[in-house]
Amino acid sequence: MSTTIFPESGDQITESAWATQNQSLTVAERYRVNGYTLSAGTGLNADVAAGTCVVNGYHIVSGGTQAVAVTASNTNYIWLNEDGTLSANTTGANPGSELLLGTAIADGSSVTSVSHDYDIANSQYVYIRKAADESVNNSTTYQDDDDFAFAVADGSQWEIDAFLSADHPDNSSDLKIKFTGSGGATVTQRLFFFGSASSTGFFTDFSTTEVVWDAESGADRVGHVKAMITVSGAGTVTMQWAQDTAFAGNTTINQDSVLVARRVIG
Amino acid sequence: MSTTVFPLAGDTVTVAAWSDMIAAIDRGATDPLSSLDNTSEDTARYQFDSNTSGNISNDTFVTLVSMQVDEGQVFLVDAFVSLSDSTTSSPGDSLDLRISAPTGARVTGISIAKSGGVGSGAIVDDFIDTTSTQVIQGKEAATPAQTVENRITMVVVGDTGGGEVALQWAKSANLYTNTFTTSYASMTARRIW
Repeated sequence: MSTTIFPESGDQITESAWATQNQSLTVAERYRVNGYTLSAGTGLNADVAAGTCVVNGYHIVSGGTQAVAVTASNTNYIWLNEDGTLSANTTGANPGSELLLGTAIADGSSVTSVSHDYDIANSQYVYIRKAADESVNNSTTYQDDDDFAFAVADGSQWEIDAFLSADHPDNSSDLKIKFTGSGGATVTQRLFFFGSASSTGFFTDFSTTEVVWDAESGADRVGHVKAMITVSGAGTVTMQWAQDTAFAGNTTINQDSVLVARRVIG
Repeated sequence: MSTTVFPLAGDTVTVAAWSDMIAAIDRGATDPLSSLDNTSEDTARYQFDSNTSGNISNDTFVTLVSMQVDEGQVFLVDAFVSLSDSTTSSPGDSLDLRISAPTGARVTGISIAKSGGVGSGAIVDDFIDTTSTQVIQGKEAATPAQTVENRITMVVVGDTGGGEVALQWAKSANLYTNTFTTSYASMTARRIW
């Protein structure tokens, strides 16, 4: 029997030793960023401020501002690579398994704006902002939300907060919500809902299958779904919703609604 | 300016380098927990602020509790506040509560409040706002000798800027002599990115 501990002070890093350690770290994917904020640089460059971060098990410390070249007249995605270098592309496709720092929009000659608001989806955290209004008309059949879906691992448990802005066409239509698994995943769910039912009252619901938002007609009503999800099988978890009673009018979940999920076990 | 990457093949492990890395992985910062005292906050992951003795008697907004968000950070935030109104008979000035956020931050959330007895007088002040400063403004009607409890749950994103996110309050006007008092207000922020 032998016991080995890696690393100890004075150990020499080897590829094989680090590969073993790095796999454990990478599984956690606790990408933590401090600094590395974006700003417009000179000409067609975005500036990336000093910072510290862990990418794929490598601790990267940047001591000052760095410039990264961007493409004119495009939205550029700025990446921090595990070797400490920076890169940009216009597709949004992750060049490897690197970390997205944000976006920089450029016109023909310079960066006009930067943003750190982007969807986050890894095995630890999910943050999704709804990109556009989405409507259901005269239907009680559950449909997948266009935006609120994320990948999950077998055996994982997730704490979910969904902040929803919705338009209700009629007092009778209401809005039902649940989560579902696909692609090999099934879910057990505990759902709690509270939100505005009218201009002066609120409504709550609790369920292990679906929650119903019993709201009077009106625009921009706000609701909060709090959910605990247990996943069996790897796949995708998606929020689904529909009218609870069919009504010939649009029930809409509005742009800028937000879903946040945090893996708590698994 | 320099960029260092640790570890690379051939590096020699040092306690300092390894400690920095583990701290960054585990807590998002290199400040060890042992350096915190009871009045400090691990702002890399959690923030907490409370107020147990505030009162307001005019229409100037002041901060009850607050947190800090930096560019690129995402926090889940809960704020609680219990308020009482000195009004003994109507009329009296009503109360404004708001979340004040720095330009460039996105705030999305919901405020729920209860006034009076359970099941009566319950209201919700809803908001989803993603623009910039002063993102909600909920009113509490002046209610003689009543206590109002609010809970605000929100996501705060440092999109293109950062700074202080605050729960603030003021009398909606300054026409009457009533005051509002808080026995407890708190804000808890958990960083998720």
